[in-house]
Amino acid sequence: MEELFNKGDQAAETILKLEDLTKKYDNRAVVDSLNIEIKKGEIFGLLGPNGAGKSTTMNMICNIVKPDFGRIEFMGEDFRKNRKKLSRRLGYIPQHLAIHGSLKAWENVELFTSLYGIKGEELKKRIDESLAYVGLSERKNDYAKKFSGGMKRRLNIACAIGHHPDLLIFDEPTVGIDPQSRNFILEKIKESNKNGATVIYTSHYMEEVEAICTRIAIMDNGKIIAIGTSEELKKLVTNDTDNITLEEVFLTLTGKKLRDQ
Amino acid sequence: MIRYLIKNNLKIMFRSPVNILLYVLCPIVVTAVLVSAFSAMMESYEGAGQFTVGYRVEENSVFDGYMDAIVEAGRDNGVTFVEYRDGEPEKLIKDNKLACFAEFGSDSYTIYETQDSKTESGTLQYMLSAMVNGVISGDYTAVSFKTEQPFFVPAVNSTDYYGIIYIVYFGWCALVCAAGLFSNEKKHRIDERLSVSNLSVLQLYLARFIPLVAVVSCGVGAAALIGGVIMGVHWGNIALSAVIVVLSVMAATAMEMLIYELTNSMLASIIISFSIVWVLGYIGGSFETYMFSMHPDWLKHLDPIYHENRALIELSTMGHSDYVASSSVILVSMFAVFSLLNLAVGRIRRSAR
Repeated sequence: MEELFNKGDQAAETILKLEDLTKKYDNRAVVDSLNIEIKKGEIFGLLGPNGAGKSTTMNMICNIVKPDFGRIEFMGEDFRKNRKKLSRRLGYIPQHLAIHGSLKAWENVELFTSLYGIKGEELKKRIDESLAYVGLSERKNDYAKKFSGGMKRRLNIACAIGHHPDLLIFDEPTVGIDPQSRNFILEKIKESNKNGATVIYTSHYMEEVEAICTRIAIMDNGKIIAIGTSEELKKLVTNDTDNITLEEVFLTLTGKKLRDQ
Repeated sequence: MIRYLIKNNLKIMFRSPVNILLYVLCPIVVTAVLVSAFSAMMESYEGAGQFTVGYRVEENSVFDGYMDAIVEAGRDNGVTFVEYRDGEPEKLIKDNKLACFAEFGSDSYTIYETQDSKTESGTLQYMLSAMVNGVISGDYTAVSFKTEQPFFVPAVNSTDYYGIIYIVYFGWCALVCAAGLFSNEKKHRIDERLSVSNLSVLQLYLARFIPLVAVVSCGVGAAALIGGVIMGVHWGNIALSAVIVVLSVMAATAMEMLIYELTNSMLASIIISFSIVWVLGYIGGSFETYMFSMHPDWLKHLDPIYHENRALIELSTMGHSDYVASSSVILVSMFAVFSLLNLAVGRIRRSAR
């Protein structure tokens, strides 16, 4: 499984740079002049309350939504100008289960992996490799609609890694699954990272983010309000970092008011 | 690159029991019901048999030079033409026991009929209409009648008529076949995932269009085959008929995919598409046979389903049809225009995203 992700040069090279990234809906800035730099080999956590702009940011990085302003630099090149080439280096695991229930597990992986120009024997190899990676080899001939929630989540991941991306974007990949499946997915994210993939990870589960992310940004109202390691974020609130959780830091920085009333 | 996407989209559509039900079983059931319901009416058309028509030709009429050929072709097909230079048509019909009376003017003709001779007058009208379309509208001076071939359609029975017409009609309802796929893509945001891979608008269009056309064509093809075996539906020129049906599926698919692209709602798209197809079918002979429908000819000629129905029925009954060319041109044009519009709308949507 070592070859599943491109290792490249890990010497703190910037893999993704967002410069003044802005997106407005109805004249309201959902993402407001966002500047983030992510280094190769990081697991970068993006946190924020509902409506903070996390998903829009992810969607802009993944070419699903067009920014109104700003620049996305991916692997040293302007992403929007070199989309065709660079999109092959990106793996997107959406929050929703973007798989076809009426296709078998291997057919789902085939469909999404083939979109990146992989075919023939190489494609077959990648399908087996991806399914093995998420522990679904023995269920490869089963229809996705027969899978449990956790298995669908794992298949969702398998569909995004077959083309050996350099950057993996996980948008809340552990929503609605049991602790075992969640643990499996988190272990796999850490393993992917160890094997060379840079990861961007969003979740509302603070303990997950704290457990796996090397650096965390907290976003609110379309802006980054804090960025750093878990320890650095805690120090923004108190010096007694042993007795405060990331969730308390998050609530202190973003407030306790409900966002989706 | 899109080979696997097409292959898997095909699998998704082929695995849907709704599609098998709609495109294979429904045409057969609907045909069987309509055949039994309308066989008597169609028999009355068959039963026109031999009858006598009175006629009169004005001086300088464009029909004058062709009357001998018309009379001869009529005789070959059981229609006797008798010329009356004087007298009121209504009185001549009554006094001479004529089925109907045709009055040929300088560039038009009028058919007089009675309450009891609608079938005969319909046959005569069809015959003269075929002549006007085929000959008078062409090169008037260069064309001569081929009296060895009848120029009106021989009787078509209800099995052949509805067996063919409903294959066409269900082929025009192509969008339903993709309802499961498109709805699933939207519900689970698979289209977003596809756009991450940076597929072009053309690739995305083809990856949906090709399997949709293939599945609908296979479905109605299977229905036609079963209808042929079980009910004895006779298609005449099978290869040419198959080409026309596939062209119509392509045209319908392109049109209905455009409606979906514009509305972004499967329910709205199906309602709009079915409404359009119902109107086209109503005018084009999908419900009331086009031979006896009262819609004006100019309206029928604007209808792609009319051209297709007529081409296929004439291929079935005569083995050839002047409508093969017109239906093919119309269907290919529809496919091309709607496909280009699909791509244009897709590009606009993508750039606005």
